[in-house]
Amino acid sequence: MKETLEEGFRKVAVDKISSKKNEIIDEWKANKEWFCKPHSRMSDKDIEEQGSKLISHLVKYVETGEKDELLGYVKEDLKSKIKRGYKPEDVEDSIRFWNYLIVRTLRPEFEKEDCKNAFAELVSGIFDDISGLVSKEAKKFYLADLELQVEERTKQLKESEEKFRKIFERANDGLAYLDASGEILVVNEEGERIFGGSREEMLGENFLNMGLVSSEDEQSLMDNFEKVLNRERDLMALHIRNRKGEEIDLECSASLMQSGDKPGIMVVARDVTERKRAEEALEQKTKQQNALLSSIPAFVYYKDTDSRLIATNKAFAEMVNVPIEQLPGKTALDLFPKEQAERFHTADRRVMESGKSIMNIEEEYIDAGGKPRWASTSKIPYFDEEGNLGGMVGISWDITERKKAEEELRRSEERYRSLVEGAGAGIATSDVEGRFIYVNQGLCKMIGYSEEELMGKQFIDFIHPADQENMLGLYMSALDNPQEGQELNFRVIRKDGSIVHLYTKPTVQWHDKEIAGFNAVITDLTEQKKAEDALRESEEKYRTLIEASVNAIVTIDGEAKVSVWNKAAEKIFRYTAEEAAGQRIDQLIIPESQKDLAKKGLKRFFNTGKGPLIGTIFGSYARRKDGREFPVEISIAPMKVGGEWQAVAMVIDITDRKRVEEEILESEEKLRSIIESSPDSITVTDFEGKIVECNQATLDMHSFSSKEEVIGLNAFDFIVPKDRERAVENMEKAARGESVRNIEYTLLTQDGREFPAELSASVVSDSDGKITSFVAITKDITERKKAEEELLRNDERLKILFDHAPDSLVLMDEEGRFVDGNLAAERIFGYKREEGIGKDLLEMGVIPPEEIERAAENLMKTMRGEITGPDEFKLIRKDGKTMTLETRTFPVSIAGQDLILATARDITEQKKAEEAKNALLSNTSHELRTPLTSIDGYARFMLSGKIGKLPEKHEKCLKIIVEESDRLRVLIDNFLDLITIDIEGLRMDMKEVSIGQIIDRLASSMKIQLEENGISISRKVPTDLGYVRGDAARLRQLFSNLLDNAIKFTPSGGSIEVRSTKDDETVVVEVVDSGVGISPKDLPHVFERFYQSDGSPTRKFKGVGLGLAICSEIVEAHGGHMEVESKLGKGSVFRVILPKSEEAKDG
Amino acid sequence: MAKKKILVVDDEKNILDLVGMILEAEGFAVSKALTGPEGISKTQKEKPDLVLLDIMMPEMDGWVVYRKLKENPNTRNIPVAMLTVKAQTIDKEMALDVIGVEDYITKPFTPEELVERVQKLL
Repeated sequence: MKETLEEGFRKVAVDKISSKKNEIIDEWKANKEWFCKPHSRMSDKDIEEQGSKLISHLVKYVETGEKDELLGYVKEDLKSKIKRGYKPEDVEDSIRFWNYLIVRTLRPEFEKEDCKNAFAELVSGIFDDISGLVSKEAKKFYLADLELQVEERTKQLKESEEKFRKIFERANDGLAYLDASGEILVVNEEGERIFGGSREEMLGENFLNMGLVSSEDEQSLMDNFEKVLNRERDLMALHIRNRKGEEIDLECSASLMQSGDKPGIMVVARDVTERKRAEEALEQKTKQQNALLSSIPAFVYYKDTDSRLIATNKAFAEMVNVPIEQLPGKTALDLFPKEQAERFHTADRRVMESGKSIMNIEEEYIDAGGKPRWASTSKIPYFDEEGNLGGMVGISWDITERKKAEEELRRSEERYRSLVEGAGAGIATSDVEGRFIYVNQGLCKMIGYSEEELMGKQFIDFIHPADQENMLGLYMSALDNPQEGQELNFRVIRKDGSIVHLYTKPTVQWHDKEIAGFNAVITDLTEQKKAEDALRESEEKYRTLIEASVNAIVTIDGEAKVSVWNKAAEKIFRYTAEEAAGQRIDQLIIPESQKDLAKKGLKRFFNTGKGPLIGTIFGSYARRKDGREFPVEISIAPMKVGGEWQAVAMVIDITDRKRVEEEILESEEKLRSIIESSPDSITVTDFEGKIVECNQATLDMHSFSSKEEVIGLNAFDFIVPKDRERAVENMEKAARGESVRNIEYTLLTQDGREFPAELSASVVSDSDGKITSFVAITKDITERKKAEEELLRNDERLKILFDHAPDSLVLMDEEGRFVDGNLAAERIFGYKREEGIGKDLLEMGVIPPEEIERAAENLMKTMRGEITGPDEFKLIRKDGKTMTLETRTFPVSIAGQDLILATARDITEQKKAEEAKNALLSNTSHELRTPLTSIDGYARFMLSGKIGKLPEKHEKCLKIIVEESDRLRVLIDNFLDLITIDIEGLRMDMKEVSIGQIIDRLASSMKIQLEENGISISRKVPTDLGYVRGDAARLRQLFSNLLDNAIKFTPSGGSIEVRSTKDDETVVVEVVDSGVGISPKDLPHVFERFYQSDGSPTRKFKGVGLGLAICSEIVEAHGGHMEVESKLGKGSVFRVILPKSEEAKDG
Repeated sequence: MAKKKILVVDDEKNILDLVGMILEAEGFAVSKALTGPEGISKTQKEKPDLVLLDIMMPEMDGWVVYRKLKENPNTRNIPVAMLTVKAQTIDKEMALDVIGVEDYITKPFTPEELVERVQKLL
């Protein structure tokens, strides 16, 4: 890779490495402990030197890419290092570290230059090479070096063969041959063992510096070595700690030897450790025994078989107050009073004659000072190796203090016991097995058994079965853990079967550090238990009471923290008891605005137990968990618990009450304002009728100006004298609780004017139901009276109008039942009104079956609010005659009831006359036609020339006859059409009709007529003009009439155009002529029947006739309409606008 | 070729004559009857090629005559055209579409029209 590196990069790399040189070396110094071991011992100076060399070689390599010089240097350095004792792996480690150091220091530089890869290859490459070299070369050098060393040693060995032989003769000792500097040259096997290292390890080491001796001994070792060299000394005792850490005592001898020209020292080391240890142990033991004997607080003495003292300890000597060295040979008689000495002697004899020890005999003795003392003595015989009695050893413990303490204890116990017994407590002692060994009378009384019955019995048998387990547990744990006092409440079944509740806290009774049994003081808890139960019960009661309370009950402790929080409190404050417990009350439920005040109040309360609100019931506001504030009524009571002031508060949520109060207040106010603003007089009177309260209306009604004038007056004085008696009666009625409503009286105003009024009275009762006052509501009904009278008059008027109306007026309900009818109705239908009331018109047979459907339809429409008619109905009179009626129906509402008003006019006669007229007209027109046929026919036949040629004048006359008869024909036709329409209406057979086709056919059938008149016709009718829904015959008639009309008014040489257009909704057909036109005056009337333009000269053919009227009716019957435009002398446009058929539209 | 014979039935003598004159002028043989019954018997006797029949006649109107002619197998196949003053569309359509008369000629008529219609029917 280096061949491809550019010179520029090398240059940069060289600069960077050179500039970082000091940094790298500093890093090395700072991190030398990370190097291999030998490096870590290098001085900073060495590092600087070596680092500089290495880096300058590295720089050269980077500069030239030539690595031989660098590797050569590494190789030399390696060689010297191995020589200096470096291991190959040490060197490798140091190279790896080097690599790391250089790369770490330089990489950031190259990363900036974006050529870190090149750098990595450059540096890593060379370090790979170096590592390879090191691992290969270092091993080689090392091995070579080792070989060299072995060779040298072999040579030395041979040189001193003689010496070695001599040495090995004494091989039971450790041997080491040292040179003059102390370096070990040879060492034997024992030497290896003693010095704790292998021969290989030790060879070449300096014996003096091996660390065998402690630093204090080092100097003496050196000195001795010096002496050996000067042949001054050859033996020394040496304590060493060898390489394996073994402590060894040596007896060393050293002798100076000459090996060639070098002086050498042969060290012979004998391991005397065991010997020394045994000696030391013995000495130690003796020392310990002596120490023990002299320091032990007991008196120890050895006696021979004659009870003569052999030896004693110091304590004994002090006790008898005789110097210790004078004691041997003395007997008890020499040391103690006679009686006492004999007792000791007897004991001695017993031990020595029986050969058995006596242990722990407690005896009293008098010490040297004449004071009585207690001792616990054991005497043990001892035998010599042959088994003969040698004497005895005695040991006596001074137990005077213990005895004293025991005595004290006994006395105290006695005192205590008598105290306890005096208090009626039971006392029992049991042995370890739980048997009673002592019971007092108190206990006997308590459980009803006599002492005899209890003693020696298992105490557990007297315990209530349910408590036995607990008692055993207590017993066991006392055994396990005697220090800890346990207590227990338990029950005992008395001899008489009743149960007593007892309490005990047994203590363990010790005997010589062994548990000897238990002492128990037993207290009768029955009364206490009862009291507790009562307390608990009462507590339970209170708790239940508190919980059940509908009012929130909260108690706070001396720090204002909540301690009780009942269900109701949870409910009104929305905090659960868990949430509230322990919270400061002022933080919890006091509104923000009152917090400071509350805090002050609480502080004062806790100090004094007093406060302005304590013990009162007061209204305030409280805050709920959701922050809402609501009105409450609170009562707080103080309680002093354990010396601190606490409080219980009862809180009632008065939101509802408050609201109700407000509502009542509001409603009262409302009521008052209602009363005040009432237009009716409202008065409150006492039993006598004396007015105690009234409203403004009362003043107005009776013409007073102020309430003061009215109050105190008697209400009966407002009533005219003739009505007063009745008023008193009604007042009594009201007092009896009967309804007194809307009674009419004539009242008086202050100035004596009378007016009619309506009065309702009621009573006001107090909560006991006792009547306290009367309330009278009086309404001035003057206007109403007037209105009623007016109404009555009106009603009569209307009744007359209704009854005498010429048309039948019938009211029906929505079921079609007759409700009322007028006289005309009676006359027309022949029924009396009474006969019809409530009856269905259909039932009555008024409506014949063929009319039912239409009649029902009209009723339905009317019920929906539509007015129907005029319609013609053929209905049947009571006498069975059919009549034609013209009817109308109207929806009416009378007194909230929806009714149908049907008017009917008998048009039977009118109809008959019309029919007769129409028949006459029809007949007439038919009759007219017959002579017309003859006139027209003969004239035409004559004109046809079939019966001979006519003189021109005759022909002209005949033509006029033909023309006029033609006009007459059209007139008759139209006349007949209109009569038909009038009689039957336009009967139409609706189909999909093509207007285009109709026009085409008409145009072709009129061809002759057009040609005769010299009129051209053009059609602009699109083929897809589409269909209209209509009656084909009528439409044909329509266009026929329009075309006839056009022809009629268009002079010869003129033209007629039929054109049509359509849009989404309509089809429009225009018939355009170039005729004489219609005058603006006539134009609006052209569609009227028999409209005659009064003598206008513009109508060449007089009499428009009925054609256009028929056209208009036809178009309207199709849901369309007609328009006309005209200009005199220019012509006319008749426009037919027809709606498109739904199908055509869709298509 | 023998002349086609046409029977005209009408209670109006003038009309009867007019129709006769017009048709004879065109070379038809015309027979006439003044009443319905006469028309029926003449049809049966003379077996005309066409009957022109008025509707409104006293004694027996044209529709009765028509029905009788059509009921009689001997006369059933003789075409009948109504010749009437009932010029309203409704009557005409009734006659043509419902009753099935061969033609319906309204009075007044022009001689040309009559001749043309009659020729079409023969």
